[in-house]
Amino acid sequence: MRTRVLLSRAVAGIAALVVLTGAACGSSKSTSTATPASSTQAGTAAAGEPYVVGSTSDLSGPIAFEGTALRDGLRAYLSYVNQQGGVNGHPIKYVALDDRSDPNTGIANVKQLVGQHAVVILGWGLSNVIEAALPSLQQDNMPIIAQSLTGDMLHPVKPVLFGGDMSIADEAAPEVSFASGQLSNVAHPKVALFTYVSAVDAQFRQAAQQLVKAKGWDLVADQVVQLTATDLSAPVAAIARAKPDFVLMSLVDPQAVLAVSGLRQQGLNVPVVNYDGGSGYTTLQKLHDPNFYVLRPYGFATDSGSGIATFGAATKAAGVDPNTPFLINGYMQAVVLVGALKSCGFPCSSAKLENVMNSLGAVDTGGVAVAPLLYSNTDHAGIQDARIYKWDTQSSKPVAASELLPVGQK
Amino acid sequence: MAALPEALAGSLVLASLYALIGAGFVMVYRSSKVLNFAQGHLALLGAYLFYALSVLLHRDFLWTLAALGVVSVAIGAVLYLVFLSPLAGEGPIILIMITIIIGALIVAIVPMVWGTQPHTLASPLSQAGIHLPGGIVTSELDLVTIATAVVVIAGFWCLIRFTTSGIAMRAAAENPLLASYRGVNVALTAGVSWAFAVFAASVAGTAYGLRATLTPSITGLGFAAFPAVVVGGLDSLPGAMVGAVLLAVGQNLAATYLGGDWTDVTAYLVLLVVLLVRPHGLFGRKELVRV
Repeated sequence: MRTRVLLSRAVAGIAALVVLTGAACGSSKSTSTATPASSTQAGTAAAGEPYVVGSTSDLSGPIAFEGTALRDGLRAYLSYVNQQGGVNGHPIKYVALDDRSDPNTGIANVKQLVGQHAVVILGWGLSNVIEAALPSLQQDNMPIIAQSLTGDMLHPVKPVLFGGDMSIADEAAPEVSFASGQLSNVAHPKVALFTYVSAVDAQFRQAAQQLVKAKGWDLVADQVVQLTATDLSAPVAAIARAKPDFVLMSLVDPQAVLAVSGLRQQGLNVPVVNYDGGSGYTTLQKLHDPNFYVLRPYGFATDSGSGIATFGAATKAAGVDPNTPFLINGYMQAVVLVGALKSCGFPCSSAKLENVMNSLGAVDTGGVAVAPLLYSNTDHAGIQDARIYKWDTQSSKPVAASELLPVGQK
Repeated sequence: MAALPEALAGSLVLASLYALIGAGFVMVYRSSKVLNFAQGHLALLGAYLFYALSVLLHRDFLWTLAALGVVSVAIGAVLYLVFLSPLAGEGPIILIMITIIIGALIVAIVPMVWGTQPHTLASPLSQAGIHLPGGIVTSELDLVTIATAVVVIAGFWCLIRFTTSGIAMRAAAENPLLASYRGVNVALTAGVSWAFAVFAASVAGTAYGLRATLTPSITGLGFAAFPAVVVGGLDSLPGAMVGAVLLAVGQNLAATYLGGDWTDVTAYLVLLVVLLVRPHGLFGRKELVRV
């Protein structure tokens, strides 16, 4: 009898946990559809038929921090636009789905959003999910504005794919360009490369190797680490032993902190520049290192500009931290989308929106992106330029440390 | 060969983190024969608790550490009493499932409470390089991390080896019914083990968070440490330490001489070889079944 009671309690406990876990993690369909859609339109000042836009990203799973930040950025700006009267007098209904970094779920999400008459799909966290969903997207003429597009996806242009961030491969050129300025007084520069193991980061590594070779620099260390590595002491020691004059890096935020603090511990105080996936506010703040630089296509909430002021107001209203990594990326996707919807008019079909995107031209973001974004028939990348930032110990905030640097090898 | 001393020395911090996580695995396994797959998630929770307590206690490092000790022990006991205790005696599979669910719950709740943005942990311990003979470079934080791991695991070992609670833990794991007939409070024993496991995980998570930024990626520590504890033997604290050192040294040597993409491969190759030769681990006890 006692066993039965205990078992009943246990089953009830597990059931409660499963329900809680489901609520917490979100699932492909139930959680994310209802919550963002209702919250985005709540209190809207606009009336009439809505534009339906969707997103799919990793709201659960190992890189949920990226997907949820993208969603929060998207939601912040779309809510702000709704509060301001919507687009062309129509509110935007936002449906956020969770693909759990799983390609099959990504494909299912595309079908679900097509079924809900969404005109565009935003977000996206992993390139392999996009690759898997691409046939469905092209079959349905469904444009996407996406994070995590590889260089191959952006060059040459592909139908329906529009960039919401730089491809990692395109970040090698501005990093090398910045290094070139820093190394102008060094007779025979020695450079180290520090990257992580992944298909997209391999493109960065390859591009950087080619550019370093073309510059005639000596590549004295070329270290890779697993994305999940919690200890970087061996590759850090290898780089320190090689005594480079400059370190080109593409490591995610926590690993960037381990790498740079490890290099400094080893006595290597040369400039290090990291890619935008490891360019978070907290990373710069934690290291507060005068020789650590990050490449970013977007600014920080502490920058100035009309767009930054709106970004601050929208994120404050949404109750999210504007310094959350990847949040500004989602926000910018929404800014681009709203610009396109204005030109598209109402109603706006997916096919019509794709045509608009193809002729959108320059999108001025008021300083949220460091330079205007550009979309045309021949260029779907959007981001044309990026800028180097560093931590300023005087003002205790990130500050620009370079002029605009063209992204990609142009 | 110049890289060898650095590779060995560099392994000690990683080994300390693995050993702390591994000690938690061992404590729970010794008392209940359950593999606690939430150990890495508990490290994540512990690190975020340190952050929250640090804010609450105005970044007083020592008070924060003390408070983390108390809170983590309490959480361990509560987790056992609420989620595990009702299922005592139901077999290991369902209990392992519960640990997986606890892990999933932690990963889901932490971003809800503390957001997805990285946080930094305040520390008075310097990460500036201290140069030792043999070209070895370490730091205050490294040395304190290693010392803490040794003290925590030695404390656990003394508890198991020299106290009646330790004997009770072993008895409770091997035959809970018989142990209870002999006066062992099985629930209390297992609760204490869970308390220690969460404490060790919290120390490991905090030690990692102090050197990097605080993000949910800390969960990976649990998966990374798992091969170490299997290599050492699931029921052996010294085994957890030896397994941690073997794994960390193996991974660092692989990273040094073969490249960083060999670290995971090395971990699982070491695990595979040890399991083929000694299925119960280097220091684990072979279970005898009398028929």
